[in-house]
Amino acid sequence: MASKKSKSSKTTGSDSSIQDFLNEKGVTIQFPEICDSFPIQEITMSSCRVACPAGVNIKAYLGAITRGDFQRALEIVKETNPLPGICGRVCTHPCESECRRGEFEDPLAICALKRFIADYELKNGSKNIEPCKRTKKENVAIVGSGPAGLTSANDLVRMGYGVTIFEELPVAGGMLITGIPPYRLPRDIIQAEIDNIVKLGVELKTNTKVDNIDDLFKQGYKAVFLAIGAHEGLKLKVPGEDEYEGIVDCIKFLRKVNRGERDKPGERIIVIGGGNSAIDSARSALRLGCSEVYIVYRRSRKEMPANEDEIKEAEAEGVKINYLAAPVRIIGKDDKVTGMECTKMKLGEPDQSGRRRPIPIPSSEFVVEADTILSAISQKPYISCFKDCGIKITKWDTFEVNEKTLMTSKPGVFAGGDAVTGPSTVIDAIAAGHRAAHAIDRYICGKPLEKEKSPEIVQRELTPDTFSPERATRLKAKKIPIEKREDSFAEVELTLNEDEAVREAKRCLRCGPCVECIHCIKECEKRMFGISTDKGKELLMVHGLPKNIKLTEEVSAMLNVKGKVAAEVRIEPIVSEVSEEMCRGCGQCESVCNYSAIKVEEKEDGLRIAHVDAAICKGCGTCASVCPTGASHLSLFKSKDIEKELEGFFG
Amino acid sequence: MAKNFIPKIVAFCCNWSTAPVVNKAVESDAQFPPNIKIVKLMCGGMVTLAFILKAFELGADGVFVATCRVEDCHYVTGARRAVDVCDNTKKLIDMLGFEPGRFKLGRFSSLEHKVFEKAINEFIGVIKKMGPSPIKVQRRTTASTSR
Amino acid sequence: MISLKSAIKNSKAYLCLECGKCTSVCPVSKFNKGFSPRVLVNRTLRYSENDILTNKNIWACLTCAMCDLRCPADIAYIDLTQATRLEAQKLGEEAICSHGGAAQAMMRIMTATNLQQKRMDWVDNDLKVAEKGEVLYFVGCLPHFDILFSDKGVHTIRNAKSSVKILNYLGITPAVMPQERCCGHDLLWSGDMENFKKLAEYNINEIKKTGAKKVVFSCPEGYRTFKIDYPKYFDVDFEVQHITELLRDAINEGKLKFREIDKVITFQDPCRLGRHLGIYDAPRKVLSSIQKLKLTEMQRSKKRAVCCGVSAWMNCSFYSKRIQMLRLKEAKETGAELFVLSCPKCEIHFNCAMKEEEARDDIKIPTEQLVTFVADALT
Repeated sequence: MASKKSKSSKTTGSDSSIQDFLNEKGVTIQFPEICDSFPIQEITMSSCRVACPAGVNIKAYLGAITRGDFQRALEIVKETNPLPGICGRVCTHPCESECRRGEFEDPLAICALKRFIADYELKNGSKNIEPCKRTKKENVAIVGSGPAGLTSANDLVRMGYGVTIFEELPVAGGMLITGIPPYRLPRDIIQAEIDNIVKLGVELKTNTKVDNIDDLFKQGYKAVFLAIGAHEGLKLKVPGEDEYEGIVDCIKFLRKVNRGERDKPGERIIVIGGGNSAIDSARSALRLGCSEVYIVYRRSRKEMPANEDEIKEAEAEGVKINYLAAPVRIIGKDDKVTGMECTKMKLGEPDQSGRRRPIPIPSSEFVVEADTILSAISQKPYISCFKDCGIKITKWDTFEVNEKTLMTSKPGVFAGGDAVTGPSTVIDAIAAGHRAAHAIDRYICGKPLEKEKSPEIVQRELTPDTFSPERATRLKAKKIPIEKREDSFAEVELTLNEDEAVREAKRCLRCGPCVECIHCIKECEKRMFGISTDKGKELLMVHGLPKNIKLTEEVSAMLNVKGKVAAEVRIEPIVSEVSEEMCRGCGQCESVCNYSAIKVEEKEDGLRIAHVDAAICKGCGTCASVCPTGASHLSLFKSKDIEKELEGFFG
Repeated sequence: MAKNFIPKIVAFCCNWSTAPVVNKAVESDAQFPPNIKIVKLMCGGMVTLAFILKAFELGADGVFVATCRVEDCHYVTGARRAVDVCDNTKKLIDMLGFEPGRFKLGRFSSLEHKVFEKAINEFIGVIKKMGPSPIKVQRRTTASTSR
Repeated sequence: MISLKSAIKNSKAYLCLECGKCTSVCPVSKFNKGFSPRVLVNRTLRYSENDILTNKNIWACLTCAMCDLRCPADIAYIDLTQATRLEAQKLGEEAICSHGGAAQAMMRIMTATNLQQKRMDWVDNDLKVAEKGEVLYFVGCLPHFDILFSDKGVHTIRNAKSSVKILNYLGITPAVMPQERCCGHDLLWSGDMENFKKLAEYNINEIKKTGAKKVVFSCPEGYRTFKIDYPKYFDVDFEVQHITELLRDAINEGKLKFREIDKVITFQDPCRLGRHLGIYDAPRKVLSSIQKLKLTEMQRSKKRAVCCGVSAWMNCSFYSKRIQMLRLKEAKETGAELFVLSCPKCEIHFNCAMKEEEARDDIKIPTEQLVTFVADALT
């Protein structure tokens, strides 16, 4: 695999990355003697994290799961994703498509693992959530309580702002609660995660429709984030669409079902479209007792945007899918729909989206009989009420925003999520929420909205030829049997148990040299570092750094703070114990060893651990200087090691 | 004593002059018997009574300490220290009741690989004559050995 | 073997009131704030067995029994510690041994029954010892420590010589075993039950062979081990006595004559002899019977005597040095010219502390063992 192009515009969500922190402080660290001895200077990311729109630190939390530290795993997820339980169920998991293990066999079940840790918290009772401390006097209004709105609320309230979410419906959750049926995403999960965010101090106003943004500014809000989603179904634009009764927009249908109404729409149903809402509608219809459900999709299965798993489940439950077929006109009698004429399609050249364009095959029309047609082709935001507020609207009826800052044409008004992109995924909405929160923070603080270019992410090349891990089969989450699914909106997929989760997480290859878990700094008392200004008094603290930093022994390291060379910096030399637990198998030591004494070996349980050949090692210490976790040190020539050698000899 | 007795020997070797000697000896196809464990130390002065006793406790039939010549010590005083330690060790071994010949201190310069080879082979010959070590300590716990 | 649960029962640890008096008197806790007997008892009672057994702090205890004495609920803390260590050893936990574990290795080597030891070199021509006899003098590890710690300027073998000299003076020709083994005290306290039992069994059998009715000790650790620990596991059909008790009896009978010594001394109660066995008066009686000798007590003496900082060759650390310096300072403050000790290990540890770089003159005081001091004073 060729090395990927960097994604420089990525958001990492919270300020947990030390590199971000150091960049923001204008700090670069240089070692006069050994330039590469400071690991944090070159943070490279694993492919799964690059793939995740929200930049969830996947490798780190999988690592925490393998150690059985589920609480810590959840903390890591929540740094970048405040809705782990929801994402663990409905995420399209682009991370899994990029998983390096996927190049040899099935990728890791990252999504199921995220769900596991979220469920683990629910099962074992979440920690008491304390309201965030209000440190800033400004208030921010967020319109819409979907994933984008919730995420930005979560970020902003943690930054210290006052946050109010306005929700038109009586319940919060947006498309999560109105669009996704409970057999995929139980209501209590949504409620619990929203509660967690509300507990942080977010004010949630349901049943409150926002018509005029200027009113919000008058009420004292300094910034507004429009995360209204895309709830208005698009027209089919075929003859007969407006003539007959029985053509229903799938969003309206799902909203009814999700509100708890259980009237069946008809007997024979056609669902038009190939997205997740089409599949959701079809499976919901089956559950309501409809005898036959067809999906009509104009491309082939390969191009279908719905999750592969969902399609499989739908087919298993009895949904019939007509691929390469498109509606031509609606047929009806006595104002009622009786069927739909379709035409067969073939695939032509790829279009802008990269999918092959469907082309109708002439005179291949056929009729599908039905009494109800659910249109699930796409949605757009209900944008009419914002048209007069001085916000530019695109030709697709979405908000026009600056791609990087998410600000609309009206200063102080930001927009994101489906309202900007059109219907998209939950994780994209979460990413938009993060970006909006950061932009709003910068807007309120009067900083330039666009962040400086973050460092490029370099990926190591890794091909099956150079590296082939031991095979380990992907765990499949259990599901409730198909017979039990009729009439029931109970959740289909079940959560993993603890053993399964640990086993699955151990399949992770831990690509990339550092997991950025910041454990090295948080946990390791020896390897602390801090930065003091040229006055030598004020101590800049890196996130999670212990306070007694000044007591550490000093080692020569030069540090540039905004161009000035500060001599007060103290960085502890790498003196940690050799520890298998600490070794991440990154192989940096292997690459620097002048004597080829170090080999990274894979152990039985799939962990990669560096092994030093004591017979060749000269004890020069170069490996210790590059070890990012401090696992490698001058292990030879110590009493303990000599004893170990003796014990090894005599068995 | 069984004729095919292969003694288990631990040799503590200083990194500066004797480890190269060992390497050279190996390179020049020296005939080393199989059961010899070479433990590399940064300096002969690193040898302590504890290591030597530990080796015997674990079942070594003989312990050989190879250091630099006293005047050649890289750390100036290390080799002298080794001599002191070895004197004490000999006394203690004698008192504990097994043959002082099971322990030997040798001093080499970094070019004397032939001498080293000869010394080690002689030492092994002596141990072979003595037979297996009388010390058979039960390992403390099964748990600690399996770890 | 004793499981942790029965150890809790036997030591009555369940009675813990969490008053923290143990921690407040603990010499280790005084310097090492991470160590607390109260917390350890608490963890033993409340947490899983694994938690306490893998806790490194169980090895840091000096087993000086200061806490035992102070405990209002009468919890036998050191018994609990001993049991905990034995259990921990089963899990593969290991004590952090000082001197690279040389002492423990030596003791384990001694478990080999076929060794022909040469440990009688110290018996000078003017000393009378026998192979068999009613009274046996148990030498212990004195000859070995003499080699191990000669660089500290401590010659422990003088204790053995003086003890035999005293016994000879009283008309006793003690039996001394040429194949005697270590009493196993250090192995027991570092959690190695198997090898302790081997040594104990061997020693008891050897003593039987000499036909001794009474075994005399100059080392308090050996005395404690024979008096308290051996009978727990084996039948012991001989009497054991510490040499200070023997001296006291002899003085009461008027058998001993001392020359005058015009000196001010102070005396350290070793924890094994003092708090473990309650022998405080015998050594003082012996010392006070020497004319013109003035015994001044340290600020904390008898029951409150501070330990010498290390026990069973484990966990010698920065904290041990602090404890030793504290105790030496107390000794120096009495104005005594000589610090009289009655345990060879106390002598080794205090002399080691005085050789530390940061040791100043205010802690430097000459030390001497009670037996050698008394033997020299005999006329």
